[in-house]
Amino acid sequence: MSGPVVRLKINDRLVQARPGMTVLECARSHGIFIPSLCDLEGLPAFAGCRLCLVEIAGRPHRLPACQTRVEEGMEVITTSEELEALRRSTLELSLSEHPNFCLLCQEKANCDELKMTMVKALEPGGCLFCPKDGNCQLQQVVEYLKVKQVAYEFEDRGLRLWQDDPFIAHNPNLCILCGRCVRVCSEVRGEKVLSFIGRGSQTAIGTFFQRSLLQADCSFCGACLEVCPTAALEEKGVLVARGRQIYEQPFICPLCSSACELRAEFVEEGKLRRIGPAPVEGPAFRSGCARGRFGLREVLEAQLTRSMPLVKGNGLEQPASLEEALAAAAAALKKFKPQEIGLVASAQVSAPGLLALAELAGALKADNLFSFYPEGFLDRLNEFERQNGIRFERSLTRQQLHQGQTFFLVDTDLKAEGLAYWLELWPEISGGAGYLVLDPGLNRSARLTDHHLQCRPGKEAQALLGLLKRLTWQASELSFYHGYHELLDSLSKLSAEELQVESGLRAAELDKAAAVLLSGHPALILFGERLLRQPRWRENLTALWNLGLRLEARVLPVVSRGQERLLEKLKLSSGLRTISDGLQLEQDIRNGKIRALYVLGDLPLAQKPDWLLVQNPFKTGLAERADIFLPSVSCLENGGPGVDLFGRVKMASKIRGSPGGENRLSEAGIIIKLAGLLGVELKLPSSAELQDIMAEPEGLKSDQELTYLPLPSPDRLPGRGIFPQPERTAGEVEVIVGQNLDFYAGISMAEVSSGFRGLNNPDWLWLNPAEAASLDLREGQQVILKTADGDLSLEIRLSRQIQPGVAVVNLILDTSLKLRLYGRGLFKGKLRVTS
Amino acid sequence: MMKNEPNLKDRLERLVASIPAGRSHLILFLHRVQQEFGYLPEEALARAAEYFTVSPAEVYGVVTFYSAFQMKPRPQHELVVCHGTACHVHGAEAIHTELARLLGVEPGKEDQGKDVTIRRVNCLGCCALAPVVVVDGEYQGRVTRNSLEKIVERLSGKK
Repeated sequence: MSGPVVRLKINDRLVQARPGMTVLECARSHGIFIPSLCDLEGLPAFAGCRLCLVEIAGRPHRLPACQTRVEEGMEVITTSEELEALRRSTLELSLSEHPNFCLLCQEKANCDELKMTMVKALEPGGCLFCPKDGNCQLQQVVEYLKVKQVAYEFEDRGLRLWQDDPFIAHNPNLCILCGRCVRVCSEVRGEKVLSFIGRGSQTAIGTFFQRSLLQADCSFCGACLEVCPTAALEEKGVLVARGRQIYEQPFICPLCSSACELRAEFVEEGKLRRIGPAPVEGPAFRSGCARGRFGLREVLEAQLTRSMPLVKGNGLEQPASLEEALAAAAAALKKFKPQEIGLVASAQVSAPGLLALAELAGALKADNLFSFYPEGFLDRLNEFERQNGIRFERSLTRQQLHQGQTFFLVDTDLKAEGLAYWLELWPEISGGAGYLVLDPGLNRSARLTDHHLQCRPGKEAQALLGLLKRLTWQASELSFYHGYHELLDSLSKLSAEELQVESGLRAAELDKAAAVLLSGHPALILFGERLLRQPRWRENLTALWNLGLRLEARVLPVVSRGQERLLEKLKLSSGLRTISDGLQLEQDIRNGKIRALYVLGDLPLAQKPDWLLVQNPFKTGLAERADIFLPSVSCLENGGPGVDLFGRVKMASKIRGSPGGENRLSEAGIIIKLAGLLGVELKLPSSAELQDIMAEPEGLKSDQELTYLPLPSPDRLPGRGIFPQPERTAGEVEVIVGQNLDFYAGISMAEVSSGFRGLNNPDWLWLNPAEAASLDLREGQQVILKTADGDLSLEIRLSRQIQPGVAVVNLILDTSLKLRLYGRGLFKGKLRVTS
Repeated sequence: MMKNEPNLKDRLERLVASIPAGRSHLILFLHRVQQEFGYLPEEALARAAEYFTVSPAEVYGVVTFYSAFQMKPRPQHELVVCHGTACHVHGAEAIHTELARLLGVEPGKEDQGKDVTIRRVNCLGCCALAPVVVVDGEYQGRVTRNSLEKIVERLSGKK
């Protein structure tokens, strides 16, 4: 053990510990078992179950090991007849309210053969159906302490079951009030949906006014399911294994930039049973979210039949073997000239898939290699950096993140778009670090701060300049970089009042926000793609850069998709081009420039080329029109690697495969095989090589002089011209198009999952409640949103986080209209009630 | 109901303005709200969560923990029947039952649907006046069957 060491004795054995460790942690690290139910590694201590009480020499009382820190020379006794008796009687108290018949069953020894009860102590979920059977931590502690009977009569609490929510069911009658779920919800995930409600024997885990989790704004991250020691919180819709063998399949979640390590469980017939977190390091409750756990499961369940390769001949689709389909594809590709062939990767392809497609394009000498990238986030950032000779950082390490004393989120809902960052940030924020959010739209991450600047949509630049103006007057101890005097000059030309009016922020709000930014040094500024997906994004970035420099802050983009940074690299190393919509591609197809198209994944494309090959896990969307359809395995079997926000390359451990999956090829595997038929041998980078590809070039920031950027003249600022201060007519709204990552392989989660429809419905139009009332609109009402590009049919949803005159939609980009609106980011619309 | 009262929001804001933000002041705020409204309206809890940056669930947890807080409006009239030793000896039980019969309220149950509630307390400390009934805060000593009827009549008149 390196570093300072504390020496102590546990059960007369001399052991060493790191300072600050608890007695329980120290005991565990030396293989000494102390029973406990409420303690869990990674959660703050609670000392609620009282099972880990130990004796410490010289202390008058027994102390909970989970909350007692090691001290030099401490002498700890973890087990004695007295302690065990004490623990037993404590556990009996817990058991007096938890159905305990299965724990103390006489036939326990023959449990596996005899289990038959469907109802256990009034709870449906007896031997056969208790989802935690065999995995119940209460069972384990009962075993260890050899509890044979409970001195108290079992008291049925008779509490209402929570069964109305999607994905999660709660049976408070099975709850032992260990508080793990409350702690993980509040302190790890920053959700704060759960709390202890009531007092004494009436205490239960619940929500605000005991509303359903949905109504309590739960994001369904599922962390509570991971920590519950009993079956009080259980995942809904899990296929019961009932003795059948379970196959486990680790994979890297491709749905966002956090690249969580998850695990799919199948039962014998290859049926997907559940998806849960399975990180290689660290506790499970820090991985996964509703999207990866439940949404992905339901998308995959909805595609029950395994897709077969299909080859179209004489206008008819013929099922084919993969070999036949690949041979047909190779033959067809040979008929086209390289410049007539286009290759497109959709937004969710795996890193190896993307690399293989790039390799294939190179081998075919086809220079039409595209990646569908509707956000265009890093593209714009790159363009800005090139034009101004500056460079923002792209990633940072966990240590660097924790160096931050003040955190400023701009147009990013970090919880939804950058979970890996959020989980590191949240403890700092709840520990008192400065925390400011600037976002005119819906932002779950801004719920627990009163420092949420809600500027008018598209007026982020004014808000940032309003802050910058304040910061130039204050904090004179911060460095001055090149261009500071010019900055002061141009700032002085901006009227503070006008900035306030334009941004819709009051002077007091900006003052307070500036104080938050200065409350701790250094500051870390994270900005999301919405800051750049709007008409005057350059002005936004200029203001942000200058603000960052003034604060000597790290300023980083938060990419929300897994492969965004890989795309950025590939754009430099291969001929890859990104396309944010299908327009150019469709035109190239129309005028015959591109005649053959290889699409990896799914994308909305109106124009079909002469020959179309689609490779996707499911035959959906574009694949319906393909001449050749190649089913690749889903992300569950693709293995990885994936790259997370911290730039770590994650690899799923060896694919064991569900039955029948052995012969199927990964996304990249199919491309490699096709290349082989074309006489080319592709080489894919190993995980280490990928790490090198992803690595940030050193010293980009240090070897150039940091300089302030010239501010746009006042009349170039958004607001003048884009949306002239309007005399708004009733029903007219400025619409912000948010980021919606709830889809996989061309299938929207809301489309296949009623749970997701209740959680994040792409058909919702979010409005301010007061404004909705004044327009006589109720929640759930159908409306038409009329825009200059076309109309959308949407359903009213209310949130107090939305300002009057603003609406938010989180569209799934499945039509060219939605794609166009998304590209604008911000547009004007008018609401009309459908009769 | 309070819910539709137009100035609920204004009254809440006045209370909010009188107390500094920060979670340590949450309980003080809740007391003031209950003083003002007689109970804690849901809006007050939501506003408290916002203002003190405490999660709504936690606010609700605090409110349900302390029995001094109540989340339903008190009925118009509250009758408190003392069941202390002296009152018990003087027939508190019979008085309680009779009062309930006259008012058509189930004894011991705080029936929120009605505009009258009867509450049982253990001792009011004025044993010399036993048996004691408190009618809307007004102490009535040495109550009898007859005086009960008068009390009930008066209450019905006041309605």
